[in-house]
Amino acid sequence: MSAARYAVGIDLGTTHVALCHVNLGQSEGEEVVLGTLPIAQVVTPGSVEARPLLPSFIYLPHEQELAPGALTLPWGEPDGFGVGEVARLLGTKSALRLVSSAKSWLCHPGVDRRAPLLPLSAGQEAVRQISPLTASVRYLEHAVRAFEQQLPAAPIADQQVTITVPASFDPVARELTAEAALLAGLGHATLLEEPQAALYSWLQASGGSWREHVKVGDVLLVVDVGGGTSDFSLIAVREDAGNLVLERVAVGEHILLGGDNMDLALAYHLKAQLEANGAKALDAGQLATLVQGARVAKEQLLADSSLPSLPVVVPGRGSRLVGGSLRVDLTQEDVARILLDGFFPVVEAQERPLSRARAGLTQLGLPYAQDAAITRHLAAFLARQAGAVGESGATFVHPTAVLFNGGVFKSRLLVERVLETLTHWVTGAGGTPVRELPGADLDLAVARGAAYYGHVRQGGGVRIRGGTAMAFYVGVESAVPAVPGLPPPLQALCVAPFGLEEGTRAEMSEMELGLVVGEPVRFQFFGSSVRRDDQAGQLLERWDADELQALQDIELTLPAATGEVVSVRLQAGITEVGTLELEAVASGSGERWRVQLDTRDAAE
Amino acid sequence: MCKSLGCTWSECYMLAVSDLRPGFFVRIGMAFAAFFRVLFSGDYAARLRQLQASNLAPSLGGDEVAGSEAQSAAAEQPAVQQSMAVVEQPAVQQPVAVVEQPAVQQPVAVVEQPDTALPQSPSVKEPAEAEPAPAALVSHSPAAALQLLGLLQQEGRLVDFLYEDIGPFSDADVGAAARVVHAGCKKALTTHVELLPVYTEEEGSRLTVPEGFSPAEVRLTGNVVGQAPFTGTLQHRGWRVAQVNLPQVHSAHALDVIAPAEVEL
Repeated sequence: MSAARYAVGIDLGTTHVALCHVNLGQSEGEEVVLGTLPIAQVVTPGSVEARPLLPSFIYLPHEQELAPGALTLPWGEPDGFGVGEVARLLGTKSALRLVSSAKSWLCHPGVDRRAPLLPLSAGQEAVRQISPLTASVRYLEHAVRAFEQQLPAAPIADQQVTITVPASFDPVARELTAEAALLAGLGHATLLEEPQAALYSWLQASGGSWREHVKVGDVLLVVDVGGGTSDFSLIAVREDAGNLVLERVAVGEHILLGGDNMDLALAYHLKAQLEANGAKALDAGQLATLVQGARVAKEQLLADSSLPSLPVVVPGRGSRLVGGSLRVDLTQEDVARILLDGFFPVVEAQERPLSRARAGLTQLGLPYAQDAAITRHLAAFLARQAGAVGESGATFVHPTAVLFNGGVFKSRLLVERVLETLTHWVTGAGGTPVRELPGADLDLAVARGAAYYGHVRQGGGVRIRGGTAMAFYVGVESAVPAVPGLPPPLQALCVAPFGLEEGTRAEMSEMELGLVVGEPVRFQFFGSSVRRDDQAGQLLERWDADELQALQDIELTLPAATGEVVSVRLQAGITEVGTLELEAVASGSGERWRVQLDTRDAAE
Repeated sequence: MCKSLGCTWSECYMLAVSDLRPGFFVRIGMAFAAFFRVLFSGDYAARLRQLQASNLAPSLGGDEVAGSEAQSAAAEQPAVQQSMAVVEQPAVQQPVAVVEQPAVQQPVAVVEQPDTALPQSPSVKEPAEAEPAPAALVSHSPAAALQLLGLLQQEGRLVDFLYEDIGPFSDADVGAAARVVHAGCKKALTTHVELLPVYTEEEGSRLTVPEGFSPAEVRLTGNVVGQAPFTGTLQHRGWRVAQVNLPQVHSAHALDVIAPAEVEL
């Protein structure tokens, strides 16, 4: 890593991938030379263009569907798949072969993320499928090739690479992302939380003047609404030896709700109008056009409130354009009602997201947020993290400033709605109005911040402290006399405390566990984003239902050679990369075995 | 005077136009077609230039030179016939292999010489004396033209629009479709071609065309007499292509397929 000439930032987003780099040799302290790298991609079969963003889609064509060489890239022809714009384009008309939202599947604990299951709808047909992990590898490989094409003298494995993940990614999803980076030839890329990356980008863009915008005692709230997910983080501004210090004190839960939902909501509204006016049911291709049209019209309407309405036209699929086109108007009122009141309603601080009871039989799918109101999710987050900054008596965290990230906040109306709502909550509880941190780059901030973070890791600029945003626990069955019909009560052994820093290890637990060798032993695994004071080795006998969140089971297999039963103690650490590592240490020999966080047969 | 009808040229023009003036949306189609013919056909561009010269300088006399591009006399070809030609021969039927001048060299800015600036003179300088000699004519590969046409079809359904009979439809229907074409073609054009005005001054403002100006960039019209620098009124700012960024294409890619047929299974 010492030979690194560039810090490379990869925003591995749900809907887009972006690539930025910092020239380390020319950067000093907070003065950095930062650039974005366009990503060459097939845009239509047979033609290649460099674009700032790579849409996170993979298309798996039928072997006779495309002309030979139609998916060829500047660095060669991929083996039977297309990535980026061409995939998005072909997928609008053949959704059966389109892999999308792979990142959301990567953190879906209910499926085996190494199993070929995407595209999901392809299951019944004889269509090739790939795993969520493979999809991530493909996106990263593409970014690697695009980097090497532009900077051939700098092998990417030698560079300081940072990949961003949602702050709410669980340990398994982080580990899989790090594994995907290895498989893509990135070496040991570092992981960085997206909201932190957005803040790093803001720090970098301010060129040092950020110290004038924040003061000791500030609580910064990052509201990151991406294409497919919403992510919240709290960062406290503290003082250490006369310097301002930033510390990430809390992150929100994984919410599958983003800008794409908003465009879809508008499109479905327009579709209903069209069909009410006697139009035939729209097909998938037309719906995709309608979503696109709704997005463009929405952006114009949000930018100019004097426009009463804008027409959205859906051309017919045949060559008849004039006769086959459908026209519908998107009005200012629709946008206000559907977007502002649907996704950003003015709510009270004590409101919580509504959750409907799931129908008895649910299809295997992504756990999309059931309540579309981002402000309610925000209220829940701030209340849940009430203890994060040590305020006494407050029922929720009072942020003092907000950093926005994500394309949806190009609309000032949405920014102001969030600020108004937060100010309403905070002033209602005796606080001061919430201000906005100005000058955020809404589209590329995450990739830029990731590249800047690589520079920070090499000693330039201020580093956001934080460590893990969760404490981790292993479920241990109590040794009590068995009662027929009742499972033995479960205790939770803390293995990693909240805020464990990268490259450090937690204390080894004193409790010894007797394990049978030669066969896999499974443990229940829990995380808590609110229990900040538990130390490693602490055994919890009871906890509130919403304090501990069940994660995917973990698994340990001890080699058969060591005997029949072995007593081990558990020790957790955070790797330099940023992934959680859990090891079993034999009490006698000190031998170490790695506990598998990603149990492969979870879906079985 | 128009020899055939015995009226002035402007009267002749008006007469003919009032008989045959196409509707607004037909004109949109014609404008699109004319754009591509200017872009891809040197012949057509040269004829159009003559037509513009004859319209903007109606007092000029001269011989009938219709269709003779090598000569640079002010064309006597009546305007209506030129417009009719657009309708009769759509741009896409022009053989693309005979593109003779890249678009960037087409003169596009129009600076009209004021009537009062210089005394009338019977020996009027012709606006475009710099026509290349026939020996310098070259044919460019149609690949880039096909590619751009493909992009305009893909993003803006341009070919569909131009080839549809829009006669039976109401202006509202045509207008709805024109939005698709406008938004899509604009996206395709702005993504792949960087266009800049030749002059950034406001149209209608007075400006001076210096000595040694490029006749390809600035066309002088009106009372074109005397020597540079010329002072006149900017009628049209002109367009110049600053950069073309067409996608790379695979060597085996069939560029002549502007849009593949779609068969849903």
